[in-house]
Amino acid sequence: MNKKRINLLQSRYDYQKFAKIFYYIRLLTFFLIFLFFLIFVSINFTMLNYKKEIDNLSSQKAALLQQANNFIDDEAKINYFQNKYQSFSQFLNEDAKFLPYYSLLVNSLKSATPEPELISFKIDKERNTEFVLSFSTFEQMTKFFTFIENEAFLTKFENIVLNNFSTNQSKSQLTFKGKFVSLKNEK
Amino acid sequence: MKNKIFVYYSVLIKENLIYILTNIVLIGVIFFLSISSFKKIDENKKNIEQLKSEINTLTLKNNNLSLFRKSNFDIEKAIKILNHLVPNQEDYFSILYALENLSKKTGLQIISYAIDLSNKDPNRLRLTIAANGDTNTFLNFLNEYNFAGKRLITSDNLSLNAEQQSGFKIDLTFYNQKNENGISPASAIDDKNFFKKINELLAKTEFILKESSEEASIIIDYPRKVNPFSLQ
Repeated sequence: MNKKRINLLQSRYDYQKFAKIFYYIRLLTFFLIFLFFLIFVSINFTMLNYKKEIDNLSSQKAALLQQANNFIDDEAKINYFQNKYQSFSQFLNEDAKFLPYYSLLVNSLKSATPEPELISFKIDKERNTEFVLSFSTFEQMTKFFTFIENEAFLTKFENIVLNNFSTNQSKSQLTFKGKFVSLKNEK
Repeated sequence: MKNKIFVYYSVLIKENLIYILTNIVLIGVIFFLSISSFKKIDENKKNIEQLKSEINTLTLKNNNLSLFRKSNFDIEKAIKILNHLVPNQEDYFSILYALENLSKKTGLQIISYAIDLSNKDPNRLRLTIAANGDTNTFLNFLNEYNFAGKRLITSDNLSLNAEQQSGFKIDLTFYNQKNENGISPASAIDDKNFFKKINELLAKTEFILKESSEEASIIIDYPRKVNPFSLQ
């Protein structure tokens, strides 16, 4: 059978689809124009704000520079002094600060009954210490143990341990190792 | 019929060609505008950050300046004292002189010293001294050694033994530091006790300038021969 009819409906569908695409393209044009103006305005607004801020900061900087330039000699001296003082303080911190910690230990031992004899004392810059206490009798040494557990004595140290003890007929000795708490204004 | 349909399409395209071209141009413009403005925004942000940090440094300098002015603090005197304590260059004679001074002031007799040459630090010079004295002079030494020699002296490790009769071995460190002015920016004086601490230090070390001026006033301007072998 010969096909003699034309399917006009099919072409109309295609045409409408095509027309719809162009409708969206036109819509996109308006959207892009709107977007362009939006971006253009917001960029200009942002740039204007940045310019204002930069101008403001530049004028602040100019005023401060003017102020600083009036006293350029003083500024050089202050910088020199501060750098030197900073180095000095760092160097001074390398000191073991023997005497304040020695006095701290001696003074706290004075309140002990019986008071032990401090045989040796050692300290480094990290406040690590080692000291030896001597007692004339073994009983005195055992009594002293109640003192070292006392809060007032323990607060002088970050940590402290009994490292060694020795006893003979004439004397008994205790060796402690630990770390002092930091003293403010040591010297 | 097919040609007729094609004509419809071509008319549709012609009618909308301006929109298609506008869209292409707009997309391009928006793209380049966005990229260039992002670059500019980034540049501006960097500029602002740099300006802010410069302003902070300048404010810090000016604040320090006004604090120093308000405090009536004799900065020149302080610099002189600090230059004595921590000189810009190491000078072995000043070390010997410091040890002699220290010995005189504390009573601890320094009998020998050994310099640790293995120490590669150019700002520190370590030496071990052997000294004679009793426990009291040693404690006196410990009270004075930081500044009494007119040089900053520290000891990072010290021990005292009651059973030790008279000899002490002490490790000492002397310091020097060249002050490269302007390289490191001044730091903020945020410690409220800053001037109090410095004034305390000056009170402790003021003797350095006093003693140095006394030494400088010793007359060394006596007549000397130009030619030591001449008779006149």
